[in-house]
Amino acid sequence: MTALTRPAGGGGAGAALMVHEAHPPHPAKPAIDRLGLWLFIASESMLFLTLAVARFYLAGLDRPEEVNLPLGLTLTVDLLLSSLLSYRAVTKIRTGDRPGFLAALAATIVLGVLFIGGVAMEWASAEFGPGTPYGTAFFSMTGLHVSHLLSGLVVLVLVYRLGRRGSFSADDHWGVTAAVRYWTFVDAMWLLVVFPTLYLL
Amino acid sequence: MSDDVHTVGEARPAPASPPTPASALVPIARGLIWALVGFAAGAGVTSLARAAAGLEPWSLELNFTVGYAVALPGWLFGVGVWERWGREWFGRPVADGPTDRRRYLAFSVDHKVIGIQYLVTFFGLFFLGGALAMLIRWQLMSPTNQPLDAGAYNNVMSLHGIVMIAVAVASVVGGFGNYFVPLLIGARDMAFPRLNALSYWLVPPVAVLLLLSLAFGGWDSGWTAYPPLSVRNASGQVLFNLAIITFGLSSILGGLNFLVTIIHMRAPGMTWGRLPIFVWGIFATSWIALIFTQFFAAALLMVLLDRIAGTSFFEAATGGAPLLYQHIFWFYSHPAVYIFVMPGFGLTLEVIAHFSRKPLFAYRWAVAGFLGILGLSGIVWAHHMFVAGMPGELLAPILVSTELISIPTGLIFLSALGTLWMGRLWLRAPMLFALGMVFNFLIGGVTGIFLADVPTDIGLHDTYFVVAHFHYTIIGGEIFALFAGLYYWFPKMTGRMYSERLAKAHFWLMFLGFNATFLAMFWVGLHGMNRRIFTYPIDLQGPNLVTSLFGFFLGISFLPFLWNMARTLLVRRAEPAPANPWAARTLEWQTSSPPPPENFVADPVIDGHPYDYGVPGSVHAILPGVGATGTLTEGTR
Amino acid sequence: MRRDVARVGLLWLGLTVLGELLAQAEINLAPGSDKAELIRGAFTTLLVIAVPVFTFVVAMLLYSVIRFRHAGEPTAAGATVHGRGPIPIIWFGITSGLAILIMVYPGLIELPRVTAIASNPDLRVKVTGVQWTWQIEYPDLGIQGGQELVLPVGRTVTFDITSLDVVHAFWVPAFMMRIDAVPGQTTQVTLTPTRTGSFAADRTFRLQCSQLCGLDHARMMLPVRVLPAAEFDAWIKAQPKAPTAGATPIPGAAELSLSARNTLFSTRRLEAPAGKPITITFDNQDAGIVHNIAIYESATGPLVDQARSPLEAGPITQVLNVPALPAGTYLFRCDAHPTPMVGVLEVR
Repeated sequence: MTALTRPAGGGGAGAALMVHEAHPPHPAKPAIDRLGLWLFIASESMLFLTLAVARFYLAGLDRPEEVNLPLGLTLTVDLLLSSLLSYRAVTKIRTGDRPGFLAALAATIVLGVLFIGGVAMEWASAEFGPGTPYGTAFFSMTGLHVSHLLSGLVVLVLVYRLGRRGSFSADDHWGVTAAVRYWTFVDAMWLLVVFPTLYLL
Repeated sequence: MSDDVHTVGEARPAPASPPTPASALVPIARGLIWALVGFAAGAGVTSLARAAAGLEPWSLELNFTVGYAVALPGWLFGVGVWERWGREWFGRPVADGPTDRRRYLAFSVDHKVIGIQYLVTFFGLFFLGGALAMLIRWQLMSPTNQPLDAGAYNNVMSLHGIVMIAVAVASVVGGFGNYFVPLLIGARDMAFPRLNALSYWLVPPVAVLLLLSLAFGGWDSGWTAYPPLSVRNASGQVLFNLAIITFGLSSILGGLNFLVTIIHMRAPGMTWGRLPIFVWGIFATSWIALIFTQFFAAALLMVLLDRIAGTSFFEAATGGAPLLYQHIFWFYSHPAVYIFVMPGFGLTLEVIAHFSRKPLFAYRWAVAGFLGILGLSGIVWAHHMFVAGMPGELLAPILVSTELISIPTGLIFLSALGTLWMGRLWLRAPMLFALGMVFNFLIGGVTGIFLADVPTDIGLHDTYFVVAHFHYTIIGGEIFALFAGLYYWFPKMTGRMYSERLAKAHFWLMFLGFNATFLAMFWVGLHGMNRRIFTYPIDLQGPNLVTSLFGFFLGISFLPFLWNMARTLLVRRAEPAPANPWAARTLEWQTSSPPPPENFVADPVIDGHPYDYGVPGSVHAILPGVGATGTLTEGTR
Repeated sequence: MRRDVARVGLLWLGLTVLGELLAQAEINLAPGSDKAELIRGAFTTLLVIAVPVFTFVVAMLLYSVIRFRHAGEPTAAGATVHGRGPIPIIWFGITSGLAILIMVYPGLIELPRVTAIASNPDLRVKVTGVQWTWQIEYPDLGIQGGQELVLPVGRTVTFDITSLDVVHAFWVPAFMMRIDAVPGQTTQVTLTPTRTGSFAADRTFRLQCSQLCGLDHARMMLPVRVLPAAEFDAWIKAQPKAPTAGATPIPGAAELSLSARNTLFSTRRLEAPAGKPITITFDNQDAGIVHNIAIYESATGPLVDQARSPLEAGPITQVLNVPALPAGTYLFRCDAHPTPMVGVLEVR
């Protein structure tokens, strides 16, 4: 009997031949999940790297005077705080403290939303446009970063919702760990790549 | 026989939940509907935002881009990401998909189904690209009596290029990689089956965008899409850029999946030193796909931003630098050619070992060859830019690194030739294609030397010499390997045996047609015909006519293949294939043809090398309840 | 086994001899510049080295397929050798040696010679690419080239190359040299033409764009003529001096005006009185697109003396002063878009 030409078991989702597409979890599943996330993060960081290279290629070390350093620093502090709080969320759920976990997560999300607001302010008030070398780098890097941050926020919100309904436990909270690790990656991209490249160098 | 396989062995667990009633709509239709809804939402929001900001509400390229950005998740959720995956994120149960033939058109998480989906899709795209090639050769038969005008030719040439690039990236990896890597390492599936399905379903939007671009004026900048041309040309360029970004995502996620699978899911006893060579090829390829594809996406994203967001990455007048694009683009696109060829090398060595009935010669050196290519692949990109106007100091280092890559490539040839020598060669169709691959890639590789050398490259860059070189490496190399794999694994995937006569006819016609076409092309490049031109000086008509005629012959050579497939797959009765028609030792042959959903009746254990034919007492795999695999002299299969 | 090795060695030898003989008859391009000689030499060296590498693999493949072939499914395995001995090491050594050899010669040794730029050449030529034509200037001689590139044989020429819009590439097949023309950047090529020639007799004497640049990329070419030194000097003397940029209107001249929009002139017909100088005000309204206006004796005739404005991107207004013309029908057109942007100037 071939897989391609005849329906298995004579049509329909027949109970006589129950074929499962979901297999029992592989013994190395935790390691698998961790490696998958690390590889994804490694790949995404290449995008930020490319834009950073573009910044130096196009604009060298030039930076217009109107760049709002105080606002940039505030945003940096905001993200640092959110990272710490997100880490706290993980430690809380690891000890089974659901209310603590949810509170820390909520605070992280709020800080994330504030960050986006801050970037919107930056964009609205920027005195340079995207049609200059520095402006090109600025808007593209902050835009790329905000889009990643937004996706991170969506994931955090999903995790929050699931957490409210009772998912995750002290022993089984990979979803939380993964979401927080991604969030930390997004924060690290700001802290190590976007912020220094645009505001400090 | 396969019915029995389903019930023998350890009991399978009860279903997770009662199956939800199948949606009245076919998944693809659902996906399309949600794509359109998403597109309307995205484009609509953009218009509202623009109107609120006092701008003209409709800006074609911007609205399309935002619309697409929402349409793509809509498509994915509609085609099955929601039903089979997303519901879990909201705490709802997920049911299994169809188990009959409909699963090939649905979001199936079975790697074997996904493999076949890739194969069918990319064979289809290959023939589309081939039809475009026939059109190009018709055009170039004569410099004056031509079917296409300049604009149409540029579009056709560009589309041919990217369709074939897509085939080169994903056909072997997505098709045979997906189907056979889990089998070869003794796993039940890939590490992330649902991500695997998602990687596949990212592909149809790519094809749609590329074809749809013609309605927006097409794009005439080739698959390389250099700015400033790609920032200024017709709006079809935007669809091209979005297609590439989408395809890149599919490639990255696929690479990620393979890496984790190969690292963590090998059967007990399968050490790295016992990994089948095809898997090594996929492993090395997957690192490139994971790390470098982002640069391709980034380059095209920058072009897109220059078009719709007012940035100035590449317009010189406002401080941009066209060469920046080239650096970023080639930083991916050179390693990409190793994505094309390394699975092909792995597959070729695999077939040569089994069809020579001999241990793979210098296995460890071959592995070192793959890893050496991987390591060097990232430092040679600028040999595509020797005449681009980049700083002269870059020329020498890139020349050196590019020449160095011939050394690990040579190790692959060592392994192939050493395995054939004193083997017992079974010259069936898979072996013929594998041998053809070695010969063709030899020519491709050797002609590459002339392009790696700066002085000769100055004379040959952007001529048909280059076109012949890369067709030799990609078609002569990868596509020949693709067909080797197809005939080799056809009985395993379908449970049927193809016609050997038709397959051999296919090989000989394709080998002769291919070589005749592209050897003539080297000649015309040396005599001053440059690339991507719809017409040429009259004195070059002779070789062009010859190339075109042989090109048509090459096109016809696929007819025996198509006939073979139609005959074997579409008739009710066809010769059934046994589980192991090649009497090979690797794991995929130790299970039924086709394999059961969980691949093996019981989890295999590895106790030796895959290619130790004739080594007394050697065993590769032990399947509890089925028996050990050995060489022919030991009698068991 | 030793007999097999001897036989395949013989096969290799035979194929190599055949290959080297065939290689001699390969490219018959007569080099047209000093750089082309170097490139041709490098090519030949690589070919001579490539042949035995190629024939080795072919010999091994051919011999194996004939000698070790088994009819039907093999009933026993082949020789159980693993390749863990000295062979891979020897192979690695030889291939590395070859790679280093060609890297050094012709690679690194010929590279600086081929790419060398003369900062004090006998002649400087400025080449500007624009969709889809080339603008030639001889800045030291104060001359603008017409619709062809004229060069002296035996003299060193340095080309300064740029583009006004997208990436093009300067390439003359006879000279075998090429370099991209990049907007915002000036790239350079130095070469000495080594033989005379012209497009009419030899189509490799053409300046062809060799980087896909849009619609008419295939036709973006100028004929090239390499003249003996004395003829070249005479040609130079016979060329009109380049018009100065930003000319002011001549008082008392007949005034004509036209504009360009969407790569079309605003009119296909101009009229002017004979015997009076003409001032043409040309308004290029196409942002970012390069136009000019030039007057020709006829569709296939030469340029009217000095009657050409520079190719410049819009939006810009140019003033072109044309000396008094005898009565007749002349052609005006944009050199960058000669097909759509063309018209008739009636002088009576």
